[in-house]
Amino acid sequence: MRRYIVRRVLASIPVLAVVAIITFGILHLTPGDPAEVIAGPDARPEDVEAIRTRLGLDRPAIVQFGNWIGSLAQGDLGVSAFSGQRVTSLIAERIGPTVSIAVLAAVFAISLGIPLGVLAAWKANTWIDRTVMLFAVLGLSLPAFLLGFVIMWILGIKFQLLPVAGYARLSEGFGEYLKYLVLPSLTASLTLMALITRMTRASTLEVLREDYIRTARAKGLQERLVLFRHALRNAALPILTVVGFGLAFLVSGLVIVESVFAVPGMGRLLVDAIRQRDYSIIQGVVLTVSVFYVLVNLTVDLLYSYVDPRVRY
Amino acid sequence: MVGITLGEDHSIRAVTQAPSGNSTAAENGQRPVVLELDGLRAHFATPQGIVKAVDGVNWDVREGETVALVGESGSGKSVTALGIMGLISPPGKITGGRILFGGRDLAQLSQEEMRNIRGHQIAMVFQEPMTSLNPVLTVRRQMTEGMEVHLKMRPKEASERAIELLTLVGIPDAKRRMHEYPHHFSGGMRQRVMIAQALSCNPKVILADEPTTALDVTIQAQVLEVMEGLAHRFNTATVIITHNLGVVARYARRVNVMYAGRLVETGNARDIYTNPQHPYTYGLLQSVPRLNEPRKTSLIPIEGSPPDLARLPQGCAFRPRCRFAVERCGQETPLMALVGPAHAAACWVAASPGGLPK
Repeated sequence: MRRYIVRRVLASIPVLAVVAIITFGILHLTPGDPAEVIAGPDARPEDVEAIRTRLGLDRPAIVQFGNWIGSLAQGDLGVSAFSGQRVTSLIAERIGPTVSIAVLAAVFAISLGIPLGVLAAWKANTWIDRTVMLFAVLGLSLPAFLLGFVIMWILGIKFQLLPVAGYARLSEGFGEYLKYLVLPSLTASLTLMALITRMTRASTLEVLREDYIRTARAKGLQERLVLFRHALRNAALPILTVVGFGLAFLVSGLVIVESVFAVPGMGRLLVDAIRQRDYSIIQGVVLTVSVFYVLVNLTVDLLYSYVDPRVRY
Repeated sequence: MVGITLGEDHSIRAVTQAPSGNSTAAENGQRPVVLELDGLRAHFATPQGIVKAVDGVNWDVREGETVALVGESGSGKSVTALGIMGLISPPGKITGGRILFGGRDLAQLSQEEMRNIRGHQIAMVFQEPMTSLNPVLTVRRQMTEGMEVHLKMRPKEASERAIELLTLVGIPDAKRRMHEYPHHFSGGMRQRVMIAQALSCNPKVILADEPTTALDVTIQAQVLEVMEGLAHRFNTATVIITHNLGVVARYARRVNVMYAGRLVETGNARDIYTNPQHPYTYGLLQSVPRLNEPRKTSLIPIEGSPPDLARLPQGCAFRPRCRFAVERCGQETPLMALVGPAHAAACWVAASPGGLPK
C-alpha cells in the first residue's frame, strides 16, 4: 500500500509537468499583451517596451518557460505583473474560501445525493423514484449560476434566512463563517448531487438484483441494513468514481459561483488574472487546481480497496 | 400413524389419523408438524399471461424430519420455498392457500412480522454459494448480523457463537478465517458458511434450495453430511429442494414430487424409489444411472420439455410427455389419489384398477 502511494505521487509529477507546459503554451498563444494592459491605453510604445523588458516578455518563450520552471522547482510561482505581490501569497490568501465552499459542497452533495439515490433505487418506478429523478435531471441540466440566483432569491431575499453575498473568515466566529458559506456551497453542490443521485440509483438498482441481497433479506435483516450495509457497499465503486471526477467539475464551477456570491476566492482571483493577462497568477492557480485533482484521484483510488476488499494494489 | 385423507377441496394430504392432533401423534412416535402448506398458490402476472408457478400445493414437514421437494427446473420448487419465506419478488405473489407455521398463517403476516420469522425461525440455504454471500463484507459480519437482529446478541457474543458454528460445519481455524472475505473461501467452504449462518438462530425449519448443485460431486456429499448432522443435532426440520434423486435417496425420509407447479406424487422415500406411481417420477428414476445394474443398460430420458406455465394444456400437465397417457388425461386434471398406504399420486392411469403398466 505504501509503495503504491509513493509510486502514484511520483507518477503525478509528469502529469503536473504536462499541465504546466500546456498552460504556459496556451497563455502565450492567446492574443493580448500583458505589457500593453499594464501600461494602459494611452501609453507610449517605449513605455510598453520598457515594461515588456522588465517582465522578461521580450525574451524567447523557451527561455521564459525555463525560468518559470526553474523557480517553480524551488516552490516559487513568481510575482504578479500588476501588484508585484508573490503569487504563492496571493493564492494562500484566496484558497481558504474556495476550499471551504468546495468541502461544504462535497458534504452536501454526498450526504444528500447518496441517500436520495438509494431511496430512488429502493422505490424504483414509483412516484418517489420519479420525483427524485426529476430533480436530478434539473440539477444536471440547469447551469449553476441560474440555480445560484434561484437559491439566492428564495433563501436570501424571500425568506431572508441567509446573507446573499460575501464571505466571513473563520476568525469571525464559526456561525458567521457557516452562514456565508451555505448559499454558495449549496449552489455549487447541485450538479454533483444530481450526478451522485443518478449514479447511486443506477448502481444500487443493479446490486439489488444480486443473490446476496436475497440472502440478506432471507436473514430477516431490516431493509435499512439490507440497503445501506449490503447494497450500498457493493454499489459504491461507480459512485466513488463519480464523486472523484465530480469534485473536479465542482472546483471549475466555483469560478462562476464565487462571482455570483461575491466570494473572494481563487475563482475570482483567476477571473481577474485572465482579464489582466497576469500570466504568473493564471499559471499558479491552474497548477494548484491540478495538484488538487491529482490528490482527489489518488484518494479515490485508495478508497477503492477500502470499499471493495477484492481490489488490491 | 400416518394416513391420507381427502381434503375439503378434494385434495389429498398426509394427516395424522388420531383426531386429537399432535400430542397423541407424538405419543404414537410421530413428531408434530412444524410447517404445513395448504393449497399454496403463487402466480406471476406477466405480459404473456398469468404464470402459475405454484398452483395448489399441499405438503408438511415434521420436527427434525428431512423432506425432499423434487422436480426439474421450472417446476415451482424454488418459488414454493421463496413463498414460504415471503420473498417472492414482483410481479409474483402468493394468490391463495395457507402456510401454517407455529399456529399462524404466514401468508397473512405483515412484512415486519415476516421479517422476524425469516432467518430466525425459518432459514434458507441458497443454491449458489459463489454469489449468495456478500463479497464486500467479512464472513464474521455476515455470520453475526442475524444473531444480533433476532437474538439481540452483542457483537462479541455473536462472534463467539459464529466461531462455534463455523467449527461445527467443518471450517478449520474458524476464529482467524471468519475475518476473511468470501472470495478467500472455496465453493464448498462458502456453502458451509451459508449453512452455519442458516443455523445461527436455531431455526425450526431450514429450506435448502439446491444446496449442493453448484458444488463438485466430491464436496456435495460432505456438505450434505454436515447439514444432515447438524439438523439432527439441533432437531431442525429440513426441506431439501433438489432435482438430484441421489440426494433424495440418501437423506430424505419423505418425498414430494412437483411438476408444472403442482404436486404429482408424495410418499415415503422408499415407496417412491421402489414403486413410483406417477409416470413423471417413474421417468425421473429411469433417467438416473444405477451402480447395481449392468453398465450397458442405457438411460431413458423423459422426452420433450416442461410446459409453458402461462399456457398449460387442458387436463394433466404431463400428458404431452407421457407414454402412458389415456384419453381422460387430456380432458380432466388428475387429482391426488391414494396408491398405497401413505403414498399418493395425481395420475388417472395410476389410479385405475390396473395401475401404471411399467
